Order: sequence, then C-alpha cells, then structure tokens
Amino acid sequence: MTPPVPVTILPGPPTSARRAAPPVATVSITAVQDLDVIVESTECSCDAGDDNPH
Amino acid sequence: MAHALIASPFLDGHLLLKPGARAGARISADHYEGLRQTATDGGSLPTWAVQTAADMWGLDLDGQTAQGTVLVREPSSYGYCRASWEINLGCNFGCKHCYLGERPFSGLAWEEKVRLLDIMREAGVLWLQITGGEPTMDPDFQGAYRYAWQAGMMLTISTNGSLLWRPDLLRLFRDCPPYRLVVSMYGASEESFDTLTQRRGAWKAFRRGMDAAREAGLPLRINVVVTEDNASEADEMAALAGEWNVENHAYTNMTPTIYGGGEPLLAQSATHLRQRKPFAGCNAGHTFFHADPHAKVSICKVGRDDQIDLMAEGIDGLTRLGAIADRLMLRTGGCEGCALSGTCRVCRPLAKHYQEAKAPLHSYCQHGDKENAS
Repeated sequence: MTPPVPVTILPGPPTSARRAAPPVATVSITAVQDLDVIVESTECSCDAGDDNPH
Repeated sequence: MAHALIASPFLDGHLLLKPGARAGARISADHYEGLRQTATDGGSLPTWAVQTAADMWGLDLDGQTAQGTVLVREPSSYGYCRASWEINLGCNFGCKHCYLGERPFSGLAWEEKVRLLDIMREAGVLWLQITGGEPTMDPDFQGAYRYAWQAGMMLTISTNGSLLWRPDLLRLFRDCPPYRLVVSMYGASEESFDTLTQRRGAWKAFRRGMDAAREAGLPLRINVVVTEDNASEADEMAALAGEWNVENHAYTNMTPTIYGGGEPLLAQSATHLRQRKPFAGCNAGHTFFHADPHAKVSICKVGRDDQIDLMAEGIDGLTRLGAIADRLMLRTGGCEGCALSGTCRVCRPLAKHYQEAKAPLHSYCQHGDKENAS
C-alpha cells in the first residue's frame, strides 16, 4: 500500500486581483506613440478576453 | 462641430488625444485643469496644447479657441476608463466557433442606447469597443457610434467586415474617425470562409468590405481566426493580411458559449492550440466593464455572473461591480479546495466557464496541462 503523502495547502489568491495603475505624468507632457500600450495593458484590459474570437 | 482634440482623465492620469489617432500624449493634472478652465472661459488654446498638436499629429491649431477645438471630458468618481458593448447579438454569419451561441437580433431602444452611452461617459469610459453580433447591422449603430464619438470616446468596432463597403458607413468613419476597426478573418478561400461562417457569399462580402475599408484608409486590424475548417490556410490568412499591410493576430483557442455550451471547442484546430497566457490578475469590474445588448453589465465578456441592470439601477449600479469582480475571482466551485491554487495562473471566471461546459481540465488549467503531459 502506498504510504500517505504530505500535502501543503497553499493560501488562495488575494481577495482582490486588482493591479496598480501605470505611472502617470505629473509635471510634463509625454508622447505616447502607441496608445495600445496603455489601452490594452492589463490595467484596463482583460488577459482572458483576447481568447474570444467570434 | 467636430472636436479636433480630446482632453480626458485616464486611470490616475490625464491624456490629450486626437480622435481616432494611435498616438497621444500624457499630460499633467495642471495642464488638464488649465485646459478645462480655458475651454469654459472661452480663451485661446494654450501654447503647450498648440505645440503638442503640431508635434504629435501635425495639426495647426494656432489661434483657435479651446472651446470647440478640445472636448474636455469631465472627471468621474466611478473610475472606469474602458468598456465593451454588444450592441446587438444579431449577425449575418453563423460561425461554428462563435462564443455567443444563439444570436438573437435584439437590443435597446434608441432612447435607452443614449442613456447607456450617457452612463458610460459619466462613468469615465474613454475607450469603447462596440461589438456584436455584427454591430453594423443594428438599426441604431450609426446613431450610437456618432453619439459616443461626439461624447469624446475613442471607438473600436469589432466587425466581420462584410458591410464595410456601404457608403453610409464609410462616410460615418470619415467624419468620425474610429480608433480601430477590428475585422475577423475566417479563411483565405471562398470554400473555407463560407464553410466556417455557414453563409454562402460570406467570403465575397468580406473581400468587398476589406477592399473598401483599405481604400478609405481606415485603421484596420485583422483577427485571424484559426479553426479546424480553415487550419490548412492559417499561413495564407496571415500572408493575405500582410499583403494588405494590415496588422494581424491569430486566435486559435476558442471559448465555450456564454450559455455554457462546449460547441466552439469542437471547432478548434487541435494542432494550432496554444498555451494560454498566464493570468496575473486584472482590473475587470474596477477599471473596465462589459455591457450586453440589454445594458446588463458584467465585469468582462467572460465573467458574466451577477449582471447589473443599468437601465433599472442607473449609473449607481456600477458601484457594486468592483465587489462582484472580487467575488468572481475567488476559487470556488470546481476549483474550491485545490491544493495548487497558490500557483494558479488561470482567470477564475474563465475556468468556471470551461468547467460549466464540461471541458477537459487541460484546456484551461495549467496544472491539468502538466498532468496531461506526464
């Protein structure tokens, strides 16, 4: 018979999976050549949703 | 009069944008507040804004008043920056892999559409994706698009492209430039395209729409959808998009239908399936949300549980969405008690979706992947 194997129960995910907002301009004007970088970032987009062709 | 620029809060900062342009500028809170005040007072566009418009987009706005030139979006206490809206699930294609499953042709009445868009604007939504179904088929699509554009939103349309040849649509996109038109490609030949979409003539309509959209210089992106029916043409589809000089991205992993059906998974090409990107948390429900054709709002397209009826609750319904998002991210149901949850890298609402469709573990769980490989 196989002896029992010890199992470590790891803590679950945090209550909130929110991410921090990206750095923002405070004193100057900063060019953003490709707005996708911020629009499609995880701060305001969905990791899983891009698997959703229809 | 159409605005030349948009100044808007965005997350914890501020942006200066040209409607439809890919490039923009982060500006300081002081710049934003100054512009907002100038637009109210009827003063001239400040020098920094004139210079930025010239540098970024080649616009000559010297001597223009701020009012009428810049649409200044008001700050919002709701904290949203992006939303998606299925204006109508009705579609002229019948794709086998579609995650919508049934596609009833229905949506809000015009007055309710306006109300929904007003709520989105007040909630702070700056980028809005209008999708479907085939969104351009909705009888109010053009009115809703124009209304959202005039409210200072940057618009992305997800379309099958089959109607983009229509002169009224081309005029709309010329007058109110979209941020992007995302067109799905379902094959590189008439046979595969019409087979997957289950519509005779779909390929010809797609080509006609793409020809017109390219000629009009619209900001296109192609989603190359690879399934069992067109798998042999995966490279040809990418090559065709490249030949058209349109950026493209291949999608190979399908999602169960929003009703929990596993049919789309059967349409997948097994040899093209890719490992899912590790999920590292997201702000669904906190900074973005999804609205269905009847303004039932969820945290995203995948996690549709506990929808909020915005027509019944109004904008304050959105204040409940953050807590719903946090709850949906907890390991429950089929993942409850999983000893490996500490290293889990899968979006919980996505996993639940697959579990309800009775999909194999390895299709959504990275631990299942290992078990499968061993």
